[in-house]
Amino acid sequence: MNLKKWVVSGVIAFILYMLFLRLTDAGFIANFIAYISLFVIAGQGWNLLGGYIGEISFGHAVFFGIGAYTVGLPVGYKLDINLLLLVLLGALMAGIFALIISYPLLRVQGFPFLVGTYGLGVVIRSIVVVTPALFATRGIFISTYSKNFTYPLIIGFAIAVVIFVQWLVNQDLGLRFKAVRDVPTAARMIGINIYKTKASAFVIGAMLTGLAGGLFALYGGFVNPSACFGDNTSIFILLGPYIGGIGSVLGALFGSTIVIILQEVARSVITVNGGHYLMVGALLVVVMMLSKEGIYPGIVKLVKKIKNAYQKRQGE
Amino acid sequence: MEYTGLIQTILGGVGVGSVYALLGLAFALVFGKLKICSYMHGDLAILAAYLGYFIFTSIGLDPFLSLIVLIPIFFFIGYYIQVIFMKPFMSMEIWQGRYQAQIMVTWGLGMCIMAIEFIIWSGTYRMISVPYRNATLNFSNLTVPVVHLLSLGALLLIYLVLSLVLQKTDLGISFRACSVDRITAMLTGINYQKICAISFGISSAIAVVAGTFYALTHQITPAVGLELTFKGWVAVIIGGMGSLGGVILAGLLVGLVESLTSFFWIPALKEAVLFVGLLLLLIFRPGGLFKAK
Repeated sequence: MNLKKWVVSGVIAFILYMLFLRLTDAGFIANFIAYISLFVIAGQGWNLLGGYIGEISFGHAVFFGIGAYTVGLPVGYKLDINLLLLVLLGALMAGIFALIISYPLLRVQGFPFLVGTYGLGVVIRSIVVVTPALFATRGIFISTYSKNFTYPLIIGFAIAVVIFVQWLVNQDLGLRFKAVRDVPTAARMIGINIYKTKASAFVIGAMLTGLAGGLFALYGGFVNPSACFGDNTSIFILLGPYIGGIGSVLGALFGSTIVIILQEVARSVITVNGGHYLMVGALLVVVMMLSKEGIYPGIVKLVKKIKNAYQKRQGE
Repeated sequence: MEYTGLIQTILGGVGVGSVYALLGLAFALVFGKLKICSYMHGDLAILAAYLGYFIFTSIGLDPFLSLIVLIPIFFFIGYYIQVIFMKPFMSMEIWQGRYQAQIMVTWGLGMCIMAIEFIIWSGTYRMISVPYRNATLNFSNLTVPVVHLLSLGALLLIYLVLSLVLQKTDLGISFRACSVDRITAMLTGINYQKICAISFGISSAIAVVAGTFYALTHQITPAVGLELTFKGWVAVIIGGMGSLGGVILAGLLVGLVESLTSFFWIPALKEAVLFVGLLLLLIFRPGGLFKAK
């Protein structure tokens, strides 16, 4: 199947990154690629719900933060547990939390869902900020692995996640996601349980986002409420897939990359306070006005159109 | 003595809630009837608050007088936002992702507004220090800030005017026709796009009033915009998706929950309690507390 191509290009990308890491001695760009990859993982998680089910979540930072704090808390309490194990545990915890919270949230759809997920983010952040047992606003320092181990780990996970999502959406379950999004009535008629389908997309997506959070804790070596549970984290997780192209794996991948690069560039080039919001907001408006589905599907459509016009002209 | 504190808190909560109720009204007007989802009215409100602040500090004009200028300006801003940015999405059906697209466009615009505020006024907290900001009316041992009374009055006035317009005038009748059945309304010669644009303009004008009152009771910073947007939407959800009266009650309730939480518990948790309440509401009454008729 097509998947073989994805695996091969994933392996090639990983090897290229390893070479790059060796050559540049884990410099700024290697670091930045790892940072982008974190948001690529989280964005793929968001895209399962936002793109394939069509419910926009404004609160994926919650799962990101749960993943990060599952790594951070045992370190903060000086428990000696393998960090890699904790990263996987964090993904699991995020999934369990999503399973619980999906009960009230998935009863509504559209904008109440959006407001509800935003509210969830606010609730969890407030709880962490006022609870001394969770280290409140101080945050936790984590003595993490060396760069030469962490960065390839993040890249490896990112590639694996992208391939996994691409595999998943062509499975039975992934096709159900699309059916629930596009033709809910027909989906119910052939016996698909809409609630369960939505919940499984939510939980799998939350696990991926939690994984990104755990890796973020390893990457930064520091977790605190504003970095992990902050609104900005939610916004950048959301914006990537949305701008790149919701409901497409490559689109989300490109989108996350574009958004993170753009906001970092805006932050360092336009040093005006709030300049990066202007860039991101304007980009969002322009993309939405030009192509409702995002950059990648828009470009694919455009290429097809040009090809068709060209063929028509040749036929004449 | 304790009772006084409690009643005082309740009064304050209702006063603050009137701002949320105003914003909720702005959302409910365009969402409940015309199915337009906007995530930028909070930012519009804060922009209006900043403009009021700017006019007050530069010319010394009272924020209420500057409303006379700002309301028409924002009506036209809203009108043209609808015409320019929202029109492509008006023919989409809900299952085609109409709300998602509208949310994203308006949120992007809101982000641009916020960024412009950041660039012009920076992120420092500002306040409009009018002389009557701290003025109060005293009833025995209760003190009620004048601004709260004014905002409650404005809320009632706007609600009454809106209901009158919706019931009696031609505009209101065509508006309701559009909300019931878009296609048939268009067949009878109603300009659907124009009705949408006008109501978006009206809702932006309501947001201006909300923003001005917010600036008179709170300190303003650009990032507050999104927060206000969400609180307005919470009011809409609690109020039952689009019934104007329900939204007003729900907005007051939101303010009440916040002030009671600050009174009895930790002020930092006031939003958390609000949203926990919202999640509970979604479990038990997904349709909202005050359902539309």
